[in-house]
Amino acid sequence: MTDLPTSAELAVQRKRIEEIYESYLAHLIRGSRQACSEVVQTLLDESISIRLIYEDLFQRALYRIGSLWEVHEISVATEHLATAITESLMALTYRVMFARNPVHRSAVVACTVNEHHQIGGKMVADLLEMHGWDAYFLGANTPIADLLEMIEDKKPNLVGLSVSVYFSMPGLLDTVAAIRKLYLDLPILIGGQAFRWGGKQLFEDAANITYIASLHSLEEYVLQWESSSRVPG
Amino acid sequence: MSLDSDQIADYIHDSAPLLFAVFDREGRIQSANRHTEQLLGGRLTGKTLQDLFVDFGGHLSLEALAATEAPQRLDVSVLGGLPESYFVRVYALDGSYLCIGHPDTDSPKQLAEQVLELNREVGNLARELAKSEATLQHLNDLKNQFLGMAAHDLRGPTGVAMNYAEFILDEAGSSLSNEHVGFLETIILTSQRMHQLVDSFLDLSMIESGNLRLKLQPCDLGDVVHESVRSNERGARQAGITIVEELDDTLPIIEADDGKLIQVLSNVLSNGIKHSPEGSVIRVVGSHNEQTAIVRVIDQGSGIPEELLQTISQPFATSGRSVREERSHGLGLAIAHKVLEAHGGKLEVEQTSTQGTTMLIRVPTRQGDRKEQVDA
Repeated sequence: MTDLPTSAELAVQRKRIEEIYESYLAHLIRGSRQACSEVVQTLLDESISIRLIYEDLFQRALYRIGSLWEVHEISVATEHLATAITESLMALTYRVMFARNPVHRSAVVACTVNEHHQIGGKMVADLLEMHGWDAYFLGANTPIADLLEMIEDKKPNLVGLSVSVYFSMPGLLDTVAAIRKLYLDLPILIGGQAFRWGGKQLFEDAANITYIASLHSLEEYVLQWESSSRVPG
Repeated sequence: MSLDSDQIADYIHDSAPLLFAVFDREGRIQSANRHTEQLLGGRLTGKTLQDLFVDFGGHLSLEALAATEAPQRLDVSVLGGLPESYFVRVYALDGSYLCIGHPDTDSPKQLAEQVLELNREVGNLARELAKSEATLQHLNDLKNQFLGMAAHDLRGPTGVAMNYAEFILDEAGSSLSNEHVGFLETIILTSQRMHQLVDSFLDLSMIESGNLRLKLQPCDLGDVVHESVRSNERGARQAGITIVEELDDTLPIIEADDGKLIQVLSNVLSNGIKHSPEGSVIRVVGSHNEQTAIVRVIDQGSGIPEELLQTISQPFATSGRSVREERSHGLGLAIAHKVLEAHGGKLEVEQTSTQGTTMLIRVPTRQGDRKEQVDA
């Protein structure tokens, strides 16, 4: 089991992140990696929950930057740089994240074929690590064959598949089908920004496939697994 | 609404991100648009083609460019930045040349994609590395835990065997045959070795798990040397080796954990004995300066092979120079190294050759700010 902050502690931590969010966002838009890094390090030094840093700082800022790009307030280059900076900031959390007590469960997480946005998938893998899972992250644009090979090698308790762009949905369907052909009962988690535009219905009748809407939902799923020691329904 | 040519000309001159320059017959710029002047950093009137573009070979000419149908990719010498590539065409007009070009957007795009891809890969590798490091740390912790538990559980039985054998020898030795006395002496000797080994395992497990605690107090370096020599005298005698102390009369009282320092010096001495030939002498030379106490252990052994010098302070690495059939577990020097490190000192091989080796032990005379750390 993971030693999680209480609701009251989380509320205080959320407030702390809220205090620095706007300045962090400004640094990120300016492309100031060093300034962003100092903000994150400060939060880590204050023992702020990594899940909150991921969700309330990294994810929130990236969603905001995505919105600004959609209304042409920032360039695509600014958006790419913000993503690249965020990925480098995630590495700051690893010293704490990987020091968790192992719970002897493993997951393979990947972004499907032709999906070049990997940060969401990586956050999923990292959150599982925070809960003591052994989470193998295969990165963006993972060929189905490579994914199947990894599943065969690691024999994970679940597979996570991330899609950020709706056009990657066919790739997700192909990947799920390929996994199911070989592993009938292996739980599969699906999620990502692509589902903003629909697609959940494609998996509604599928057994052992769970749509995960957010990092918070993922954490609830993991906690449910921890408490029941079996696959959440 | 329709655009007239003046509006288009104004746009090109004031706003368009295009290269736009008019050259006279002599190849001097007559006029240029704002974007071009911004790239080059100022007024361009009178400048040449070579001022505008990177031209290492000096081959660029307006005539040649004007004779080419397809746009040429040329690099503009951007003031204070990297050159930027433009696709350029030159048109020969009556008595002048018009040079116009648009940015090469494909190359920077490819570059950006590659950099982003590399960044992703670096991020993923950093994640794998951190994950592997954590796994190794976890395995190392388990190893230390096992080492500590195993050593702790072995310490009792070996102590009992040793004590009872000594007791029998003391109480009934005179009534036993020489053969049986020999058996008991062998039990005592091997138990002692096992005891030492188990102690080394416990020390190592404690050191590696970060639990080494020093009890710092004023201690006489001379006493440390005497005690270490005394504890090695029996082994030295059995090996036919003489230990000689050569100490300054004024060896300082230093701030250290005396028990741990005795262990350090004993380990170094014991290592010297193992690797010295019968009939040789080991000198223990003590000296000091204002900040550091120094003890040299000088043996006449066969020296340490060069390839082992780097690993000599690592656990389970042996100095590889034993002259007798004695097993070395390579823990003594590793423990000595770590204990000295905790004191802010150092263990060094000062010199080694086929004529012998000098091991150098340095310990600060005062611990100063370190005291709180090590006492905690």
